[in-house]
Amino acid sequence: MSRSELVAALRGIVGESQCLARPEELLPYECDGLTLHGAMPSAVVLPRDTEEVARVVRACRRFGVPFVPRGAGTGLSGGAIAMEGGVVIECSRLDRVLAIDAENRLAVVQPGLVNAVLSKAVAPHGLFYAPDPSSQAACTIGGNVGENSGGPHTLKYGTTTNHILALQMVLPDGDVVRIGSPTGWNAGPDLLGAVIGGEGTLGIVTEVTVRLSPIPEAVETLLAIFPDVVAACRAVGRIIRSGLVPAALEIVDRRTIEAVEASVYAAGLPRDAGAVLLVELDGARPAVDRQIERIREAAGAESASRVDVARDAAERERFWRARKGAFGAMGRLAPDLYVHDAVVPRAKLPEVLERVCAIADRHRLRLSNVFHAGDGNLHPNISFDRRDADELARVIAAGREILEVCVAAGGAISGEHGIGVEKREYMKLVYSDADLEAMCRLRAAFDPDLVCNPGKVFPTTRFCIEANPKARGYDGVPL
Amino acid sequence: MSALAPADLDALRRAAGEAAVDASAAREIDGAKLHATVTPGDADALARTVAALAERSIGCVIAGGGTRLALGNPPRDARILLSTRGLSGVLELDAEEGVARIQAGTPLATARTAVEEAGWELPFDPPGARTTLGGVLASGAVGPRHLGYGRPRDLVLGLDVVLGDGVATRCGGRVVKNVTGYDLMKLHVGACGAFGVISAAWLRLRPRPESERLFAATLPDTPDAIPRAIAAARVPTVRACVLIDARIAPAVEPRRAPALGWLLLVECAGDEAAVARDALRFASELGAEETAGGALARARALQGETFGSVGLRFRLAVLPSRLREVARELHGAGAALLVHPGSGLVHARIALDAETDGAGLDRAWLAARTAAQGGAGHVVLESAPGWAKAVRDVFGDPSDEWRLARSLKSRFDPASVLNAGRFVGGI
Repeated sequence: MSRSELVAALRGIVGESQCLARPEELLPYECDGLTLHGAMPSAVVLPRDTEEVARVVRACRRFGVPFVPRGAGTGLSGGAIAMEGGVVIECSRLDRVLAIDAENRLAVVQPGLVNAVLSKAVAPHGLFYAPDPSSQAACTIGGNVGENSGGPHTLKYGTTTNHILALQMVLPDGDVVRIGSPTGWNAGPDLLGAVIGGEGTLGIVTEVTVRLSPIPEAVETLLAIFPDVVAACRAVGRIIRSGLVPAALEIVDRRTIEAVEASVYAAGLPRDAGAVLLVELDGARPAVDRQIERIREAAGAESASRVDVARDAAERERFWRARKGAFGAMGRLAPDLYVHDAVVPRAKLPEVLERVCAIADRHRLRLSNVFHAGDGNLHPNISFDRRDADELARVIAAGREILEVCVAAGGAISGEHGIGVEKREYMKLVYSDADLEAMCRLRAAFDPDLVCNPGKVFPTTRFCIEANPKARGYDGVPL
Repeated sequence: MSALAPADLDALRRAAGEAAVDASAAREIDGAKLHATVTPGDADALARTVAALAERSIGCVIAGGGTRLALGNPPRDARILLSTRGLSGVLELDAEEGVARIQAGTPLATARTAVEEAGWELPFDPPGARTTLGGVLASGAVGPRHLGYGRPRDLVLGLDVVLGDGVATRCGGRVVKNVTGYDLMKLHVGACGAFGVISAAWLRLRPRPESERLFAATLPDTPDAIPRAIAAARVPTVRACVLIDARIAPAVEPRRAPALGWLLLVECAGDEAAVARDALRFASELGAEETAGGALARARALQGETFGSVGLRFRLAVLPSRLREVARELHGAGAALLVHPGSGLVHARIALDAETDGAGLDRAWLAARTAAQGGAGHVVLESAPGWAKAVRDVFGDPSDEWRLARSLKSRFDPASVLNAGRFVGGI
């Protein structure tokens, strides 16, 4: 069966206008937030309900074409690109809030709903949706489910998996199932854990029941200036050891401060600052007031030159700009930005950062760091020009070395961006063949024919194929 | 199920070690006969033991402290009791980071002591004095403090698991944020050992609270009793909130237990000033008085009890807003309730009249299912005599998840030797 027959079948399901197939229409779907990897889909469909998603999946199966769900395409590991000429199932039309149950602190939403829109929708009820990845103004709940997204507030609130109660999804065989429970408790296997962060390889999520959190009584944001990043990391260690769990503990290094201050995101930071620590405290008013003093003490003990408490919402926003504007500010430095993502035990942060910077220097790369210090979640950012083949090769080489350093320190190769195509070959740095094969068993229980977002998560060699001898090779390479 | 052949015992002795196999005392679980206990001394021996079981198709029941052996459908083949008690001890405790790697057979009490000595809190408090970490994780059991601690699934950072064919695997890691591949941890937590035997876990610990205080109040049996309890549970410093039927409350607070209505226990933990403020609030709004911490321990124990050896205990999970109707339905069936109003968990005890009270069992199930459906949740029969468990699936009504569970079982435990028959749908 030909591509034109496939497109005709898909148009029969979603309508002429909701199936893109011309090259110029497909181009925006060639890559996601990670521009290093690209793959052209054979078509893009924009279904409007679960039934259409199920019919699209069944049509793809008939044509033997793989498929991949896509939210806003802000992912940073190439998870939303269609390998093997697959069909992209775009969820942007599934963007409604279906129900808000304030009494039980939950909401039912469609996967294409933008993260920040959800919190705005539930704010009148005194509630918010806790996971807030930096891309929250654009990224979707469905994408967050796929990647188990985090953000700056995971230290206290956890990641997406801690805030999803139930899902409706279309399995790779076209069946529609419900997993989880609005109560938050299971009488059966916990399949939510697998599907959340499953990077869209286990099915297409079509409805999400989220847990909402009460807006805290008090929120305070502090900005502390340190002579260097090691001192800032030590202060974070002091804070955690003292038994505090701030809502956020974010560090911005000197190289980032320089870029931010030279950009439209300028937050008025002293340009000679070695590092900035952003602390957000929330909770009961009496507790937050006392915690401010404890943060001041911890920062002072690690030679902070000053600690400012935001006086109002405008100042809080300015403090956060130093952190959230970092990625945008990098755009001034070079045409491309590679945002890395790795996690190490927090106490190892100073030595790991030192080694990460040394790697970049050795490869003659412009590297800056912003990171979720409380979680030990690093984001080394490399500014580069992809048109320079030599520089690109150095970027890739440095990336692998950075991950090796993090794994050697007892860490993980992704804290919130996922594996996608970007890091699939690095999975063996962390897991044994037996560990990966166990993941393949899970995959096979959902998607025995490997048609749902193939070519992601697992190394290209042999994995998952062993679990299913009938399966195709990856990337169209026959076995 | 046939007995064990001498060759089977020899194979197990080769796998686990001579001293690890005890065939001297036979026992029964839900009518299934156990012929020997195998207690591997380390994770490698555990993997070899499971491989031997799979190779010879010998079913096992997995046990830690044995606290929750009653949970699950009657086993299909329980010739071996596979004990994790040989895998005991805290392997690593990072006091800087607040994470610990603990072996599955470690008694929770032992782990708690080690964690507290390092200045942290172990965030698990299920009932059962002998309970082990592995048992808590495999059963997903929670105690009153789950309101503050969170669910076990949310506290596990990494797991070592031996799959049903004896393959030793690791998932997750030691860091608090990790999306490196699938999250298999949550699949094993609460799966009653259906997909693997947990041998060790990396856990996230909690800071020890500056202040901990327990309050007790009585609530009359009026329509606003449960909404008031829910409101109390949602006060930010509340770590545990338990609502106990007057009928069983004397076991918790002999002096305060009301004749009718409910006993409410509220535990606050955290910042001293915030806890003090909430104490005033509970005193004025609920007439609550401060009480000794022993009351919470007694409530925890009560949560795990039944009315005698033939009694039933259901666990329902419902939406908090439906708790009133759920309680009414269960009370109508003669149940005594222990409710966690903040999270919608209800432990319902129902007495049966006789050894084989089939009609009483049917009535109890009908009420429990009606209540669970009305609460948009589900019900599990957590404890019951063996005959009562053979009548219907103790995990309640089938869901889409059961079909996927069957598919997972065939891949994670192809010979079906791990707790065979015990989990949902008899997998």
